[in-house]
Amino acid sequence: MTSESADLIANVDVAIEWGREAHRKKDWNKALERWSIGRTAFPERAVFSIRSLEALIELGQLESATLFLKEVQKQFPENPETLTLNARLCMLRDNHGDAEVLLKRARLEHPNQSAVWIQSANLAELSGDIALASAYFQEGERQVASPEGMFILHGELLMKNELWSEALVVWSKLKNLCPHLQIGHVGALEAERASKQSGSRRDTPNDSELGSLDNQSIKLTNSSNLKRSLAQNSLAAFLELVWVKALFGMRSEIQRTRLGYIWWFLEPLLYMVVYYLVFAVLMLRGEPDFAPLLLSGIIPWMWFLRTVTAASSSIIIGQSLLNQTSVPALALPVVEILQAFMKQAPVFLLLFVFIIWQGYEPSLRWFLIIPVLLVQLLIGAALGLFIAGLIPLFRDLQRLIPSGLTLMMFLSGIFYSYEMIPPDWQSIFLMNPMAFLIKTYRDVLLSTSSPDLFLLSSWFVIGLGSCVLISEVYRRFQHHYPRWLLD
Amino acid sequence: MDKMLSLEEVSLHFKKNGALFSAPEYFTALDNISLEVYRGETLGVIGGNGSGKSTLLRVMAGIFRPDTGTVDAGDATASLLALQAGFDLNLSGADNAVLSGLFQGYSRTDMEKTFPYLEEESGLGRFFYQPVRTYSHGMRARLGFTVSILLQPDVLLLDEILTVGDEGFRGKAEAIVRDRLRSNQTAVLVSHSLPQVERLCDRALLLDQGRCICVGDVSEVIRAYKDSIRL
Repeated sequence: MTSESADLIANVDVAIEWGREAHRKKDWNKALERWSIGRTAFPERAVFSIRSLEALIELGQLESATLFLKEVQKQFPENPETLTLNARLCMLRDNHGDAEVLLKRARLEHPNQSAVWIQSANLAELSGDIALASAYFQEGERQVASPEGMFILHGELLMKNELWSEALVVWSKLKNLCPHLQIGHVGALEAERASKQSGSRRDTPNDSELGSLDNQSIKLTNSSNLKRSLAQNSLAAFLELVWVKALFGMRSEIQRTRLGYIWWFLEPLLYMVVYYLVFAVLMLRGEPDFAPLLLSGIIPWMWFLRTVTAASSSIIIGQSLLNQTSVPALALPVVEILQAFMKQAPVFLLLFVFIIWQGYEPSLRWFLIIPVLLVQLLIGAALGLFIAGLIPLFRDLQRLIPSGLTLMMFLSGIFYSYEMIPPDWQSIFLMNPMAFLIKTYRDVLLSTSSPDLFLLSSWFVIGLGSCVLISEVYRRFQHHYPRWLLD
Repeated sequence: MDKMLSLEEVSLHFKKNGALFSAPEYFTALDNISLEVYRGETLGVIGGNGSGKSTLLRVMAGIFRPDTGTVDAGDATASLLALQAGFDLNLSGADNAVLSGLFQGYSRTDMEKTFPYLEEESGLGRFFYQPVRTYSHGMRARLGFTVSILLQPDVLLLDEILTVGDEGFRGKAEAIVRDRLRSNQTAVLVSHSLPQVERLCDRALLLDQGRCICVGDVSEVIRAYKDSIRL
C-alpha cells in the first residue's frame, strides 16, 4: 500500500467514492484494485467485498469470482447482492435456469433493491423477452427508493429495441422525477424524433402529440381512437358479429390443414365417391339412375345434419363467452347455421357437375333450386335454433339428438324414392319437411316430376315464421341464458 | 356526486339442482343489495369465496338480470374486462382482437384501425399476426389484457384480472390499470388481495353470503372484513 492511498482511505466515505469513481468509468482493473484496498482497510464493510466481486465478474475472471463469491457469502450471508451477483455469474455461464431461481428469490426477499430488478431485466433480455425485461424495470421503478439508474437502463433497453413510444414514456418519467439529469431530456427528444419517423411508416396515431403529453395520458390518447361505429344491441351490430365470426370460424377450421380451402371441395367429393362406390357400384343397385338419386338426397341431408348438430350444441360450447360478455345467445347458433350454409355452396356445385356428367340436361327449371335451398335453410335454422335454445334448460335433450336425427334420416327417403312406399302412406311421409325437400330437389334436378310449388311456399312461410318467432323468444329470454347455463 | 350506475334492492337466486323428481333448491347469490357507483371512482368489492362478488359484477354488466330489484346504468356502458373470452387459438392475435371487439359491439373496421397500437402495446410485435396457439401463456395474457383494456366501457368491471400472466406482466397490468383508474375511469374491482384494494380503490364494499355488510372508506371496510374472518 502506498502512503498516498493510505491517506486516502483514512475515511470510509472517501474510500467508497474512490472506488466508485473507477467503477463509474468502467475501468474495472482500477476499480478492482481500489475496492480490494478498501476491503483490507474496512473488512467489516460489505460494500468493498461486493464491489470487488462485481469488478471481478466484469473483468471476466469467472473462476476467481466464483471462489470469491463463496467467501463473501460466508461473511455477509444477508446481503442481497450476493444473490444477484450469483445470478449474474450463472447468466455468464449460460445457466439461465439457476439464474432465474436465484432472481426469483431475490425479487421476493429484496424487492427494494435495484440490482434485483436490473439483473431480472438482464436475464429477460438475454432470453429475448424484451416486454418482460421492461416489465421488471417498471416494477423496480415502483419499488426502489431511488430508481434513476433503473430508468436510464430501462430507457436504453427500449431504445435499443426501437420501442420508441415506450422509451418516450420512460424518459418523460425520468425527466419529471429528476429534472437535473440531462439524459432524461436527451432521451425523450431522441425517442420522440424516432417515433415520429417510424410513426409515418407504422401509422401510429397521435404520435406527433406525444411530446406535449405526460406519460399517463399516452395510453389513453392512443386508445381513445377506438370509437364504436355500431350502436350496441342493434341489428347492425348483431349481423356484423355473426358474419365476421362465421368467416373467422371457417378460417380457423382450415388453419391447421395443409390443403386449406381445397378441403371444402375435397371432403364432400370424397363422401360422394364413397357413396357412389358403395351403393352404385359395389351393391349394383340395378337402375342406372340410382347414383344421381342417392347423391341428390344425401347432399341436402348432410347439410341439414350439419346445421342442426352444430347449432344445437353451440350455446353450451359458447357458455364462457355468454358469461363474460353481453353477446346475445342467439348469435351462437346463427353463426353455426351460417357456416354450415357457406360450406355447402361448393358441395352443391359438385352435385350439379355430377348430375350433368351422368347425362342430365341442365334446364331453366334448375333455377328453382334457389327457393328450395332457401326453404331448407329456414327449416334447418328453425330446428337448430329451437333445439339450441332448449338444451341449456334440458341438457338431457343433447343425448337424444343423434338418434333422433338418424331416425329422421331414414324417414326422409335418402336411399330410396318416396314412390317406393305404399301410396296410402306417401302423403304422411311427405309431411316430414326433409322428405318433401329431398323429393323436390329430385323433381328439380332429375326432372322426375313437377315440383309442388304450393307446398314449397307453405314450408317457406312455416320456416320463416318459426325463425322469426324463435328469435323473438331468444331476445326475450336473452338475460336468462347466462344463468340457465350456470344453474 | 354524479351517479354512473345504481342498484336498488337487487336480489338474485340460483337453482341448486335440476333433477326432474326433486324439488329445486335455491341459493341466494345476492340479497337485497342497494348501492351506487359514482363517476370517476374505483369501488373495491371484497368478501370470501361464494359471497357473491362475481355475481354482483355480472349483474352490473347486464349479463345476469336480477330476480327482484333494478339496475340502472342510464346511457353508460358497463362491461367486464373479459380476458381472452372467446379466443380462438387457431386465429391470429389480430383476428382475435377483432372478435373481442365485436363481442363488445365494435365493428371490424373499428378494430382494424387499432392494430398498430395493439401490436406495439401488447409487446407482441410481428407475433400479433401469428396464430395464438403459437403464443406462450404470458403472451396470451398480454394480448388479452391489452385488447380488453382498449375496449373501454364507461364503467370498467374487473374480476380478479390482476392475477393472470407471469410475475412481470402482473406488474405491468397493475400499472396500466392504475393509470386507468387514476384518470377519470369509473371502475368496480373484485379482488382477493386486500393490499391491492387498498392501493387502487377509493371506496370498498364488503359482501358476505350475498348481503352487503358495509360500504365506505377502504381501510374501515378492510378492517371489518379482517374482523369477520377472525370470528
